[in-house]
Amino acid sequence: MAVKNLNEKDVEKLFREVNENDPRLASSVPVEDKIDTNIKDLFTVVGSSEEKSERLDSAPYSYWRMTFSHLFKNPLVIVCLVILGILLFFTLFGTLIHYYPPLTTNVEGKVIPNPTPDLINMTKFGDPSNNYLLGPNSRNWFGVCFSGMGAFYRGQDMWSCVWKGTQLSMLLGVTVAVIDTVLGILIGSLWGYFRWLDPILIEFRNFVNNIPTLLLDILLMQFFQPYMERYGFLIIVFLLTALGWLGLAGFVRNQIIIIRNREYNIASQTLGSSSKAMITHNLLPYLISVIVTVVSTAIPGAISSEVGLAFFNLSFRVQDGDITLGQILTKAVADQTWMRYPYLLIGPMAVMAPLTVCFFYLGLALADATDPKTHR
Amino acid sequence: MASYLIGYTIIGVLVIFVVFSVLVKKRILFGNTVSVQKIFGHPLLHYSLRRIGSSLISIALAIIVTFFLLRLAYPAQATCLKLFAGNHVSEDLFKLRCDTWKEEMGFSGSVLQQLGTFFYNILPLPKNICRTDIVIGNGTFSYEIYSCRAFVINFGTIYNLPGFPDGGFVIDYMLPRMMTSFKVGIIATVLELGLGYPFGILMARYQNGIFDKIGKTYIMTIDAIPGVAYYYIWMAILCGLFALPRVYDPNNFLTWLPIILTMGFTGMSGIGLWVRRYMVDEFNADYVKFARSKGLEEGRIMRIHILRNAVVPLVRTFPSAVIGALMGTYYLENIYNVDGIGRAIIVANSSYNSSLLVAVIIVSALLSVISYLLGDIVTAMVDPRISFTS
Repeated sequence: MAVKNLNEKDVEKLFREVNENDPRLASSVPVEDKIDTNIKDLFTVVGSSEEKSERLDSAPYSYWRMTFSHLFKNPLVIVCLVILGILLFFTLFGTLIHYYPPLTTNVEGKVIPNPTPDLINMTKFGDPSNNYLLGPNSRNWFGVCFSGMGAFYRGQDMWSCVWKGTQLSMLLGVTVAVIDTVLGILIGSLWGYFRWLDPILIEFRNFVNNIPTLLLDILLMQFFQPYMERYGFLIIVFLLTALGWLGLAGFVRNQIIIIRNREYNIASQTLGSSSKAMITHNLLPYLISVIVTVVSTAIPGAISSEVGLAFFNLSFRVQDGDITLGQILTKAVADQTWMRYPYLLIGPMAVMAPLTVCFFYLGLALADATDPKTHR
Repeated sequence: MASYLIGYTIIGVLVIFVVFSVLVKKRILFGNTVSVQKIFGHPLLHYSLRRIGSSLISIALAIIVTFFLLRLAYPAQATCLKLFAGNHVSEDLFKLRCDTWKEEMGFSGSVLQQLGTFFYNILPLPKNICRTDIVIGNGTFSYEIYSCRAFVINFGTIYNLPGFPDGGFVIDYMLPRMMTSFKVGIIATVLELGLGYPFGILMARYQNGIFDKIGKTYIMTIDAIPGVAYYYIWMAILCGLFALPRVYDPNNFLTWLPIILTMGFTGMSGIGLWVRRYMVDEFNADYVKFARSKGLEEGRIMRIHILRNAVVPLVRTFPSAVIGALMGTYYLENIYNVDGIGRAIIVANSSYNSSLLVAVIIVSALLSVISYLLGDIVTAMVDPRISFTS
């Protein structure tokens, strides 16, 4: 009620009262004067510059630099890189440091068909009457391969076998990972982008899923058995990549379908971008973090797959002079002897476990680091 | 004769049912009868029919390819030699046995004829299969049919398999072994789910906490280390440290434990990972933030909102987990010497029994189709937002 009855004069009076009672305003210079005197000191006219107005003055941003700085902030990544570095060093040079050529191989790495007894004795360790069981010692750092591992291994230095095996396993892992990734991304991006391909490839995937992989490997190996000696590496690569790309391609396809219809892609398409440009400029860069992850986890994946093949005797044949980590591991634990002599498992596992885990962890860390969302 | 009648009646009823429900769905029959439309025109029924139909096509393709692969990998004559040419077999007897076997396994005739026989045998048409053997008399051989049985699907017979009678039916080999694998597998599946869910929930609940970090490390390690190597590590822990038996014995539950525990601890990581992922997604959903800002207590949000929604995508995996237990595991059955179905592929290959290989493929393909379909149906039942119309 009181407010309603106030007229203009009352309001003015009220304000005056308030202003007079305010201690801040009581003895001050009029505000307008203050501004007028200072305003010329505060600003200077600089004129306009066409060049400067076009420049973007944001913090400098480099995608890969951010990625790596993000990556190396993680102490576990450093640990993994160090471990991988050590493993890689021994894989490449371990056989030079401390090496008893396993399987009495010749210079080319192929098994000598009928080695002389001298040659055999030069590289055999352990006691034949005790099945060549000999634990780690100053000469055989990982112990000795025992007779349960077969005629070709028994009495061989485990350390030498393991590093020779790691060489082939790593080579296989990298080759298979590269082929799988290239095929997977190529086919996956086409699969996701061209709608008419979708039903065909989905049916193909269903069809493949209906045949157990193990059976396919067994049947393929039956054909390839005669050629194993000459083309062993190519055959195993083919076995692992024959269907290995399908999983990655399906994954890329799903990702592309998710982003295919985003506004920026529709806009680009409307403006007349070609299919090739769409895939290489709009879609794949968006998936870079996904792709990097897949590549780095594909290497341990391929090494693991080889172990699976070796378990069923579908991998390289040792009589051809090809040793892999998977073979040594599966041979070493084939019977129950390793339960009493754990060094048989520990030797190969000491290389296998850090190798796969570090590659895998590095992959996951890369996935985080390459995701632009984490860069802010 | 009775079996034929029953078999064909069942097939006839099924065909009529499918045709009828399609006609009802298209509103050609009973277009306006609500009760009939509700049952035979149910979207779920037609979704299932479509799914089964399309997957039967891809199974048929897989079977044709397998047929040719097997014919190439196991040529009839070579296989025959490996199966029947023993030390004391005369030329005549070998030839006779071989011919009988070829007839029995559908190796006679041209390739197309063989493919026809092959499909006739595995199509669910009732048939009477007799297994024949050769009886050696005084210088003469004679065929003897020593048992006939009615089959719906005929997978053929097995020869030269240790611990199994020559000429025994594949189905007699598979069923008991599937049961063996299932008994172990189903307990392991229950353990996987029982461990995996709390594992994932705890990880999501204390996200980025110490438990989450340990859990993530465990999952990553399992993903990274090769399966075979990993199983041996568990063997070392369970059989070495805890002194559990190392060889499976069907009558002693203690010997099942290493397999069950290994499967449980392995499978738990995968389930835990997905539970965590879905739960974290739900944690950040708008409706959960809304509920929290309205002051709903955390435990209630968890029970009523997050768990219910996070369980939906995971329910899909239940049927395949249970049905998958029927097919056993490759590695563990080999490592622990379990006489289960997981070893069948290896055993069949090393004893040149391609019939067993085909049987394993077909059964596993059918089971996977059924489990995916059941997964979809269960998801639709749990989640009211999913409908199969359109």
